Amino acid sequence: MKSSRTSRIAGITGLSLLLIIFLSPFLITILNTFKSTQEFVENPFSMPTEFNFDNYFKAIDEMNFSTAFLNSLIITVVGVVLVVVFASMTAYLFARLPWKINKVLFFIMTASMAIPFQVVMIPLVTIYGTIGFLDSRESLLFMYLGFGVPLAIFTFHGFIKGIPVALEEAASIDGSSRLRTFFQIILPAAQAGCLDCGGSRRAVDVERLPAAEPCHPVAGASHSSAFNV
Amino acid sequence: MRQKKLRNIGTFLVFGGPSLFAFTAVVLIPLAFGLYLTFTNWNMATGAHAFIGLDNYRQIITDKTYLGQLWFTIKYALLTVVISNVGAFFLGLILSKGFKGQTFFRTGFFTPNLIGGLILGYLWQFLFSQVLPFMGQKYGWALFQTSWLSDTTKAFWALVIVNAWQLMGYLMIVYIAGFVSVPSDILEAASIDGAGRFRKIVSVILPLSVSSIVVCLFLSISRSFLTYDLNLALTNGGPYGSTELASFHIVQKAFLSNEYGMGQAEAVVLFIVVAAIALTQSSLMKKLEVEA
Repeated sequence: MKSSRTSRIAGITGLSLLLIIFLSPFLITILNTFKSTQEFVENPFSMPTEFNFDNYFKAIDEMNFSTAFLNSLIITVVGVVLVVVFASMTAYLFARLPWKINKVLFFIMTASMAIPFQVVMIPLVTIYGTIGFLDSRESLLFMYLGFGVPLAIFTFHGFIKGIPVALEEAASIDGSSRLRTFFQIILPAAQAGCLDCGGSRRAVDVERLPAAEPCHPVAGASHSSAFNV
Repeated sequence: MRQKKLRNIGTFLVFGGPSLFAFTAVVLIPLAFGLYLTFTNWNMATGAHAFIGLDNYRQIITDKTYLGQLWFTIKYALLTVVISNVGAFFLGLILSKGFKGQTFFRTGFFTPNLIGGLILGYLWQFLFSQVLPFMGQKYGWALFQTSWLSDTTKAFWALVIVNAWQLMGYLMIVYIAGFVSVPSDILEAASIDGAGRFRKIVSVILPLSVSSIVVCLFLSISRSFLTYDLNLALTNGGPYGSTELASFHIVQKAFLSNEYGMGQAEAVVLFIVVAAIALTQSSLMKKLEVEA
């Protein structure tokens, strides 16, 4: 009994050390945000001589932070909701109705995850620039939805396949329509999938769209202005 | 009969309509247009383009630098995939045991995924070019005396480490979801039959989590092949263009040297390589799946 307790404490200690090393890049960076440039060049590890929030005020001032943050917030929240709702519906369609077209479409979606963003970046900006559907929150949301659904459908597909069909049959015998069955039975049962998609969504989005910014003037300009509507 | 067909079309449109419309408009149509552009000598600045057939592709196949970069990318992706998956597998094993506070650890290891690759790249760049050399000089560790980013081999490893570090937490979550669904009665039966911890992992858990392994391999392969922002922020292709990954090279070609048709054609080649590897992998692995 005693030995198992010691080994458990040792295990947790080891894991904590591992986590600290794992997150050390963040810790070191946060530590250095309180220092002046000279201070951190001299010794990146030293504790700051005084906790100095000047860098934060400067950043908030220069970045027009409140507008940018509000935009990010709106786009994240609305974008995640749109992706989760529509992708889970499509995943349900693909997982439960064995039509040929569903199989083909699911395959195309899966394969599309291997498309480098650079392949569609310029055609995208060219096409939507021509019809004037750029530089607005709506267009950015629409693009998030389009780029977001493949991975989300892929994730949901796995979760929905694991939900027993009997549940649905019971609902349909009780006279529930397919749409109602979906929202009252399938979606609650696939909650873990929602969390998974919702949580990872942001990470993938941030990486993909604004990635165009620094390298390409046209795409960069349109995306950054989209963020500052 | 006809009514049923109409109803099916209705179901299809309601459930699939919105996401398929957005997907087609944002991914498929630009992809098709982009594909068409690879057969032209389109120039961004003037907008003029003429049809030149397969010339772009012919040039790529003989282009030694592009093939070199493709090989470099394959090496990079292979190492990243192996390191991140092995790490994530064991982290997932430890963190699905059900001890107190494991949610905290899961969240901790997932944290790098909450921040975009560009920011992570700049963060690690600071680490590699300032913090580690500082430590190296102070404590006399030869490995860290100079910045890793100024040496070709070390810069390559820097890319691998940072990408694997980020991917690990993400894949860990997928693995945990798989491990949790391994039925406990099977594990119990195995321990009654005298299987040790290692035996259980190899003979029970591993075969039953093939589906999570397939998903993780697919995600990590496509993500590491398509690394762009990390490459830009961390090494910016340097030193002397020696760490340009394929995606990075494509952007350089298309937008800096203005050879848009060429860049687009290189992107299509990359897509074919990635799709071929990822899909072969999943169809091969799917055969290993067993029912519990």
